Amino acid sequence: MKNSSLIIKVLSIVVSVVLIMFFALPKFEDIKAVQNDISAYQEQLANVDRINAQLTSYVNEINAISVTDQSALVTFLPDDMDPIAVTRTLQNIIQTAGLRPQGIGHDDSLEVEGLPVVAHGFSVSATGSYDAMTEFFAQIEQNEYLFEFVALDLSANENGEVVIEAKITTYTMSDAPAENQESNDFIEIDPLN
Amino acid sequence: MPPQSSNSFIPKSKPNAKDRTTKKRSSPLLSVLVSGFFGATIIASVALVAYEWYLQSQLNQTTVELAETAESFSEADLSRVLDFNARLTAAAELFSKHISINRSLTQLAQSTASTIQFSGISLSREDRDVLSVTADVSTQDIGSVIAQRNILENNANFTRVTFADLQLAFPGESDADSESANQGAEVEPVSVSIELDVPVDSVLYDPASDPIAIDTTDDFTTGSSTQVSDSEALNAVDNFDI
Repeated sequence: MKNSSLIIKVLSIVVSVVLIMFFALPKFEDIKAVQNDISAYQEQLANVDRINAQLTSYVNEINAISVTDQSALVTFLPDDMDPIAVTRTLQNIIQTAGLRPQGIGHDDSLEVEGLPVVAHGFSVSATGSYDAMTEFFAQIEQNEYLFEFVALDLSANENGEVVIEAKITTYTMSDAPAENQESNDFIEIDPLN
Repeated sequence: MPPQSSNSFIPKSKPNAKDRTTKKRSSPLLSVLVSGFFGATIIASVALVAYEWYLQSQLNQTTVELAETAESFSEADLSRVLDFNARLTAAAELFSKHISINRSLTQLAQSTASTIQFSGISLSREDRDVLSVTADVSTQDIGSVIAQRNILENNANFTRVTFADLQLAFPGESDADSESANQGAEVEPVSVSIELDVPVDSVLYDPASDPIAIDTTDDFTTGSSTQVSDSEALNAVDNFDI
């Protein structure tokens, strides 16, 4: 009887030690791994939540901008450019300003370094009075499209009129992203302005 | 050995009673300890299994939440925001360097001596930060050229001011000049080419104030610049500390 009790005690101790060594300790490692997984998942969940919230915030800011202003931005810097339409616009501006168009041509299109835009060049030549010339410049600057003078030669002809030889550039968005533009560099939008 | 007497007056003690008691007391304690250890091990193992099951369910729940949250992410919204940001950034960058030609000409006219006449002017923007100006001007006397040089060199809105190709003509000393003089054409005896840079920050287009009024009295196309006397030109020269 005494022997059996002793054997039971020894067996109990052995079983306990075996449980600890081969079950409990590995279980601790498993639990630690699961806890790490949970922590990592929760961290990623928080990141995704934060990104979703930030994205929602940006979308709300964009939605707060009036459709007119958004349309103006797209007009100012469109995705595509129709050379014929731009040529006609330039002709209209020249004639509205009171100049006589001598020639309008579409030059090359080039990627602009550092910006996700393509520059489209146009050559314009016209003659007219000085006042018409200043009106032409004013209308070019105030146009809803972005027209920039890259080169401008002004001279006078034998009639005392201004002869304008200009290279004008307009821009469209490029399909390729700019290399040196940081993707997380967002402009803060103030909807009130 | 003598036989043990059973009728001795000395009470017989129970020699092993104490030892037996000691053995009986130590055995249950050990049993309790062993049982307690064994039971605690079993309970701890069960608790570990239960805790792991709980953690596993929590992990599953977190995984599901992450998947659902990730699914709620809208790539269309992201694309829209990125496109809008790229367009707005590019437009802001382009607009920040958008110059007003009228303002440039006005600034140049305001910095031009009244004795100077422009016969031609070229503006170019090889660098988006600088507007390069080349102007061919003529005047009656070289003092006006000196005055003009001082005006431009002392104007902070102009940089890299260079005067080149100075030409002096003396009417009547050549056949061509004599012929022009006979025809009554107005010949400016001094001509020079002026090169200068205008930082675009000083001639940026301002929607609030442009278009701006242009003073056409210095209109180079009509040649209507007011001619001043030599003394006035010299006064202008004196004002700039030659």
